[in-house]
Amino acid sequence: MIWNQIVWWGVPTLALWLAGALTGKRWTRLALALSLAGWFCLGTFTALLWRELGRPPIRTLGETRLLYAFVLAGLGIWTAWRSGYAWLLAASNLLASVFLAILMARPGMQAGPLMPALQSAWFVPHVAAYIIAYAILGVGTLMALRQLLFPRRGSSADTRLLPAIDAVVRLGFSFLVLGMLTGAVWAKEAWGHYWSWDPKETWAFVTACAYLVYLHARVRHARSLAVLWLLPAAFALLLVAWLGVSFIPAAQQSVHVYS
Amino acid sequence: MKNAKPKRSLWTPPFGPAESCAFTVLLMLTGFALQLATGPFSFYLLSFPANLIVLFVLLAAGLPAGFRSQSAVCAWISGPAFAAGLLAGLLVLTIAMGSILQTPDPDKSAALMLRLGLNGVTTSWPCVLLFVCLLLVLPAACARRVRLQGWSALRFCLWHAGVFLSLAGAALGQADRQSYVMHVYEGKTESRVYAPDGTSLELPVAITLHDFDMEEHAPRLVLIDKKEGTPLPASRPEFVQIAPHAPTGRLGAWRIAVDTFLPRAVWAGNGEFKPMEKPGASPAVLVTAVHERTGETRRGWISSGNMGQFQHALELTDSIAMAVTPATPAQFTSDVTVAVKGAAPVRTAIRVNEPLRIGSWMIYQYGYDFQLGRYSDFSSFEIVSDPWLPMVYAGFALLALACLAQICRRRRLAGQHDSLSGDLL
Ligand code: HEM
Repeated sequence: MIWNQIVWWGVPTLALWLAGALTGKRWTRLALALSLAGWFCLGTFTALLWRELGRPPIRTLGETRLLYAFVLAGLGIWTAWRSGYAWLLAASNLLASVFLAILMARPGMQAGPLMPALQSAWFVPHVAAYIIAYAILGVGTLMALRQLLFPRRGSSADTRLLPAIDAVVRLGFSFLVLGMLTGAVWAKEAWGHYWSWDPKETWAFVTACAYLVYLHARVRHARSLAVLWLLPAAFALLLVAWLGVSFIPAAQQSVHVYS
Repeated sequence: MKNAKPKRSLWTPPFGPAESCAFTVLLMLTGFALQLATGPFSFYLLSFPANLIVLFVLLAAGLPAGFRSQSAVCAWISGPAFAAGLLAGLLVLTIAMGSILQTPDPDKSAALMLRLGLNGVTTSWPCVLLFVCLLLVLPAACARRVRLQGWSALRFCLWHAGVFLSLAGAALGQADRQSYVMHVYEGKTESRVYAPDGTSLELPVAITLHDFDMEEHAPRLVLIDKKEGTPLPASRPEFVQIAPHAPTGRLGAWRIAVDTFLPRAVWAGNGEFKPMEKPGASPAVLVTAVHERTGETRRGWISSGNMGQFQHALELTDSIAMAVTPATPAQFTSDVTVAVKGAAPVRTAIRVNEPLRIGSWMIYQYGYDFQLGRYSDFSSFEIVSDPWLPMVYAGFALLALACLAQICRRRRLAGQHDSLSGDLL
């Protein structure tokens, strides 16, 4: 039961990430190395879990949270390394640490056997696309919050950061749409219709709509900062779609509500 | 939308974010008024050929609007601010839809919220009006981009034509989609079906059911609290999957060996289970559990039981027992011959996730007799015809291409490049 050892892997990972976040400002290289070490630590746990389960760890909410922390931290390290934004490393380390800490406090249920409708080749690409999208859009949200809450030069727009945010959001949005498309084709195979407005589907639509409003509001307002507030709002809706649907009274009949 | 210049008054060209917001609000108010006056929109009004005509009208009105460079209105509605306004309206409606239980109820005396259609958003007038505008504006936006940029508009057109085809195909095709449920008994041939409203009719599809089968996952062993019957440990229950390749396992302080596993068995009465193929049989497992520290040994049969038999648990201590979870379905399979008018009959197996496509029909495994499980003597199928599906899938294909193109674009990194127009990261 490798799950029972999560604390042994998670606590060192947390320590390394937090150390990376704290050292980032002065010693960027050290911070990258620490974060990377934490990433490999969690990666080893993920790989061991994968081997024990005999399938990718993407079924239960607990498993997707683990994978999310892993993908988000990796993306943060990569983006920070390529762009030189040390604060981004700190932010993504902290966000990934929050998910990891929640996971350790509440590991969630063990997955039962797969019900027939879930046995499909579309399962892995569908969930993988969504996790990657959520992680990239998480990074985009962190970048927007940096500009909104801790602007570098007074309150003016950072001419280097704003286009980077747009590029990140477009990339994340593309994965979001791929997740929707694979889900729709899968639903057609399994249930006979590609879109049934199941609550999870409705909230996925809401999320996509929110990012679309952002993308369109940005065109021709390249320096406007007010529009950036749409990103944290859209990410909040994304979290409802991902983690919150099980708690909405209107969604208790959803076929997507799982432990 | 937030940076409307205070000096400008509304509705003086060129129109921008303020007018777009105002338009969306007015449009939705009109929709709510229509909803109060006439009730929900009936998509069956859009049955063929009405939907084809509507599609033609949308294209005939939208495309030329995008090509007219002189008109302020045309420039406005084919621009991004107008799109952002409409999308924001759709966002508000779908948030309401995700928060309010969707159970359309025609009761005229219901609460205002219900009469506004918020319990059936997809058929509510505000939603319909927003969709009409979106579908009108998408071709206009594509046309304008092509007019301004020629071939460089390709990526833009992949996104927006993809959205247009998917949304138009889904919304307009809804009325032409037929979906029925057919129950077929083993050894019989059937072509009568039930529509969602319960009426029955004859389809040009005949299904002969040779056999229905249900495979089950082997159950899992678990420790339970004897008083409460709840799995242990309470914070994160542990299970041992019974599998031929892993006949041993651990639960808490107990080492477990599976001596015999019978997927289908009945209680023989002499302290034993015996294998038996009949309705009411359930999985049974003979286990030996040894306590790691004390060496105490318990041996006995465990079965999850079902409506035909009692549950058997193995008592380990005064408070803890070992039980198995009920078997869960792994796959449903119907061995069938399907005949459709104008095509040769096909013999095949229909499973969950493996529908049969024959002629213009898709046939899905749908249900069986829950009481009898694998011994069900009938199987039911969902039979679907969706003539607009190719249009929707064409839209999906364009969207997938657009996503891949967006993902694979060469990106320069912020650190290496420093301009606003550049494609950073
Ligand atoms: C629903 C109605 C929509 C309309 C009327 C619309 C219209 C527009 C317009 C006018 C622009 C700005 C083009 C310009 O620079 O002049 C734009 C940009 C964009 N739209 Fe849409 N759009 C719609 C929906 C969508 C959807 C559903 C998606 C994605 C799935 C999408 C993705 C984009 C993207 C990525 C851009 C930025 C393109 C770029 O700057 O290269 N749009 N849209």
